Amino acid sequence: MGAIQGSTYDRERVSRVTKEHTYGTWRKQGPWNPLVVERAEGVYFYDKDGKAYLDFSSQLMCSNLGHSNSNVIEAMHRQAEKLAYIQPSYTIDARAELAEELSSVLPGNLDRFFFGTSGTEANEAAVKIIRMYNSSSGKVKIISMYNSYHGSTAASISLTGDFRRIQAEPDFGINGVVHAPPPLLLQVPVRPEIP
Amino acid sequence: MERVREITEENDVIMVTDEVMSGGWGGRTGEWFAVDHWNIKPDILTTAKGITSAYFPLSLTATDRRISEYFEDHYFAHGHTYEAHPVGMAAATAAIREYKRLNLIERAREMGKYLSGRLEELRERHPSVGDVRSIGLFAAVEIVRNRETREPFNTYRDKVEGRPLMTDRIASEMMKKGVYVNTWVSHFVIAPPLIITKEEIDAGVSAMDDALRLADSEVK
Repeated sequence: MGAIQGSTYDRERVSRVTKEHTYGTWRKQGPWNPLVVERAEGVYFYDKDGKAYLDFSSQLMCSNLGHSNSNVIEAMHRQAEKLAYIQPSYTIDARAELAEELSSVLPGNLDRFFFGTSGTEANEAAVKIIRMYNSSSGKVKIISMYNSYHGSTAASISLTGDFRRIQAEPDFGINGVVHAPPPLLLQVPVRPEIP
Repeated sequence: MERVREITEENDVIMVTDEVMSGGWGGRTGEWFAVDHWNIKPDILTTAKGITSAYFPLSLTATDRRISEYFEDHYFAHGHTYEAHPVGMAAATAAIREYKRLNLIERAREMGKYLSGRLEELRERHPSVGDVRSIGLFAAVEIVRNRETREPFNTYRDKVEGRPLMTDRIASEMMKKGVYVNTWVSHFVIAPPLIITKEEIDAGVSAMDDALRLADSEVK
């Protein structure tokens, strides 16, 4: 049974329709053969054939609580039932609660928060904030590290030092970014390659 | 990093720390944030990923009070329709409370030591393992074709062109054995959920131990 009532989504169909109609990120599209995943629990995720995989990297280093944490899921469910969306110029309990929780764990000098929906958006906001803050000083230059990754959008990919930046240059990106060698250049065991 | 903070302060330059991945969120590196290891106060900190354990897309840009104050009477020219999305707010609040409730910082430090020990064994056993490094439950295993010359198996051009990487071949073997690990051009990122047990760490390391023989066989 698929997620949509009355339809059947077997592994073959999910894979074929996904490849025909959706982009696979950071790759040539032709050879892409996505694993079809069904569910996850604890430190495992399961494909559509029921095979279990130990998640040794928390997916993209993001599933830190493991999968299926019921307290987080229930909190999302309760919020969605009460108020699934409201514009950001209004506020809600959860926004204040989060602000207080963040204040309790972040370095103490950081006192104001902007919320995006992905890491790249967080870095884009940082760049805009910096450029606004510095607007009267004339400071434009931003220094980032080679072999870094800061995200895929225009400012973030300009900041990114690793090879994913090359495809984006010079056609889209931002001005004023220079890169510096990362501190461990001489200590890494593999001969470093600056993209 | 302390030196960078000193230099940026001396020159009145804003320092931004991107903790999208390293944001400890209960201990990935053994502290809430990587900067805490060196007691650094960045001017701006960005994070995402584990802030909701990825159950909902959310990111954070946090600013130092000097910057926050500037916008009291200067126009903040930024925003998104999904900014401060209610479900994201709820997910992150619940996630932070879970990280605290489950005491994952302590746990990650302990488990991190265990993981580090097990990965060092891989370095000893496999000529293709050039480096093993970690902080908390956040480790890298880097493979080399030759430990002396530091010649890699692959370059980033191989990756962009879609040529099979040694790391991908090893990860593929591990997938057959039911273990997923994130791969890059020359290294693996081992960063299991902070709730992982020693037995589960052992299972992951065992699969990697077997699969690394592929790389060993092509060492010069």
